[in-house]
Amino acid sequence: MKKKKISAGQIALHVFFILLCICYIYPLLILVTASFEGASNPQFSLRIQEFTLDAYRQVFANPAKILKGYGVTAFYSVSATFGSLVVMTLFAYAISKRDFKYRNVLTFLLFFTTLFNGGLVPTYLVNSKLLHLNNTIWIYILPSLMNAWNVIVLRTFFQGLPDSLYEAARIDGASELRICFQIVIPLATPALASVGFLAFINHWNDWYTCSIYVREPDLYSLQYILKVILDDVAYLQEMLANGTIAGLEESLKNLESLRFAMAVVLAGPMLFVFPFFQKYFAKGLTIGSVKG
Amino acid sequence: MHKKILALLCATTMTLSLVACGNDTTAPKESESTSTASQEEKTSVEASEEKEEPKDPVEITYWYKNNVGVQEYTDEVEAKINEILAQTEGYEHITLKLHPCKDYATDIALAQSSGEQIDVLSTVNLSWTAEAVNGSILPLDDLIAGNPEITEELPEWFTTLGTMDGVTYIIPNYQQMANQYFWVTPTEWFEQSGYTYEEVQNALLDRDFDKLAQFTEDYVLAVREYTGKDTKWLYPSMFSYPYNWTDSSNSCYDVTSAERFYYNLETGKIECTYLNEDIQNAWRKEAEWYVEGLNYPNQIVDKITTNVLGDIFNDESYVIFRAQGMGSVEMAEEQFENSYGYDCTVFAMEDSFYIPEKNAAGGVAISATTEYPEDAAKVIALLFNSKYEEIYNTLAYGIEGIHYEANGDGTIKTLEFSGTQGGADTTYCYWKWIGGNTFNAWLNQSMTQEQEDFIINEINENDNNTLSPLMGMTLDTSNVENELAQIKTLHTEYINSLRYGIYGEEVDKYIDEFVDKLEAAGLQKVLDDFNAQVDEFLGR
Repeated sequence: MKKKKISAGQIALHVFFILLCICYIYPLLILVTASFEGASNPQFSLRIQEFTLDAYRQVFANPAKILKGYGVTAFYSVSATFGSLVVMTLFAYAISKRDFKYRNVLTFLLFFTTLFNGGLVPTYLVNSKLLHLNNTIWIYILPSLMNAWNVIVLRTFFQGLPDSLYEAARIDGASELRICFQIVIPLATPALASVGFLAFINHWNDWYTCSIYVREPDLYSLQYILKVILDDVAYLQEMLANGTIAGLEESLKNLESLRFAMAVVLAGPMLFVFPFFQKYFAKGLTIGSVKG
Repeated sequence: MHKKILALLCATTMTLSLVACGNDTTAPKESESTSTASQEEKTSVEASEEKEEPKDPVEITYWYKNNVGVQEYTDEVEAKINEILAQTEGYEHITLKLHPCKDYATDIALAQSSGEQIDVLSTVNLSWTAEAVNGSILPLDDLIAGNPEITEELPEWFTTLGTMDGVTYIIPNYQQMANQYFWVTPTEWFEQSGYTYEEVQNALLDRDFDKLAQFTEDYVLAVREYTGKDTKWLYPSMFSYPYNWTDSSNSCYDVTSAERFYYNLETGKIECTYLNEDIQNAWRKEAEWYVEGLNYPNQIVDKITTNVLGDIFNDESYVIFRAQGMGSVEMAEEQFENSYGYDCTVFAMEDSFYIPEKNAAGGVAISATTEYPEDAAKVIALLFNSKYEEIYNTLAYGIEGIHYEANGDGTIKTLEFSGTQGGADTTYCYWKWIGGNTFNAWLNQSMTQEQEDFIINEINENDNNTLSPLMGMTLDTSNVENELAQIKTLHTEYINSLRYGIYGEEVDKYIDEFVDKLEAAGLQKVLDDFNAQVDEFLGR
């Protein structure tokens, strides 16, 4: 059997990419090991100096609250992602059509929002006083249905599809809706997957919406709950460091481990979700990279 | 015809209205003609009738900071408070709505912008003087006059902390009014130092810098020799933080949290901490220790630990630390020993106290948008008068059986926290030290009667203590905002390196550079402006 020759260049390339992988994976592993670190002055490495579950105990001191937070976050992340994909796809499809009458106006309005926004107070007034979305689950979903950048990505993808495809469909008697849902969208899976993934990540990581609009504990997002725990511990630690207070519990002693444990709790589900999107994600990111 | 009828109806209505008004104006005249006794009788009857008449129910919202926001039991605590209010004379018509906030300043700004109902609000994290100038909070003098319960249990000098230009805008939260700092070190180490307790304690109270500097220098070497570890360090900035040293005996006017100014009792002027000779000497000493390898060298980027006293027996640690404590030396010693589990030697930094002109705990104000100022004032009274102790403690501690247990002797045991005041890991928390009269709170495991007596008698209401002469004064910084901004930038650039001794042998060069830049930034203009205000305030 003839052995396949591996060139020196290929070996170098493999070594390079293996090293690159290590560069990405190593911090992730440190993140996990550091979350189990109990030493008061830890030198974070893959070796755990003093194994402890204290940080996780602190995070899960009230498991019902955390689980509820997971539930709320998962619900709105999935709903908002799905909802935003529907809205953004339809909008992007419309403005990708060169013969659409209001294309320029709508595109301008879309683009305008990437340059200017109302600012915190007007946005708050609209969401809370006009739309009455505060203290409801809708505040996580409705205001973020449209993301101008993602719409531009989708529009660019749709415009990249050959005109002959549309013409063929029309000749076969397909209506505009049928073309959109049965021809274009199936072809746009990589774009939709990558845009959906980015939207999902944005929603998953969002703690700010909760901190501004939500006062009902049952609607607190996971990120907000964890941020409050972290801020609280950091505040007490700062007072401890300044000598302003004394005699705090041992559980306060290791803020870094707590931070890492929270990162693990937050990022955990994402690490499982990412591989399913990976192949689409890679394709989606190359949209528009080849012309002609 | 229709027009005529309509005109007639309007004319009749107008006439009847005028007659009705005329009756009102004549009534007092009639009463004037009657005897004084009958008038008083009538007034008292009217008053009692008024008293008996039930008032319309009102909801008073109370916005405050607890760093967590609404928690699992906030609604239950609110319901419990309203249950008690319904049975409290004069409060039957009031319902209290609690608004705990996490990001307090943002939450208040958004609530104000969107016209949400704010009646009573905490001023922690807000500039209450700016709120007063903007007209966002009400002057309280008339309301206090109408409801003396609000301030009747507070020292008179204390309430001036909430005044601006002689007008009261906030009721300051009443707690320990001067910080108490102690030098703390393990007794096991101190016994090896060759110094007697009295030597160090007296030097500290006398502010004998040379003697103390010699002691700390000798001490770190003695601990290194005793433990056999060269990784025992001096805590950098033991001397050079203003409140560690100079300003523990002087008032510290921290205008925007970085540019430190203090009122010098001897000169009667506001001065800049950075020009203070003691502070500059401390910087030089820190630099000397840095060069000699006695100060922890990486302090600026990496503190050894945040739990300095708790981790003091680690291989690498500081040897002595300034910590805040409470009560006499003996009480503080017991407190530190219980917290850290080893015998502590504790030195008091003060034997008399200086009550500064600013209250770190903020206060409570009434929003200018409230529709019910009198009822809002009644809610403030709940926080400050021991008559309403049960309500205040329900607000402070939560629900019996869930958040605390009564010990049967008037004290309680908190169940979810000890020492601190609850937070994100508890199901309910209210930071009583920034909301009301702390001394109306029931004693618990973290505060003994002895400690509370010490705070009240030795710190807050001790005639030997010094009250800041600037009590009740608010500096107006509007004329020197640009200069203060530049000074703050310079502070950020230089201060940590100076405090931690990082400049080493070149420290004098950098001190001169820092001072020159401060002067170029307009420090003198700031001092002149502030001192003109001080002179005016003190009537000089």
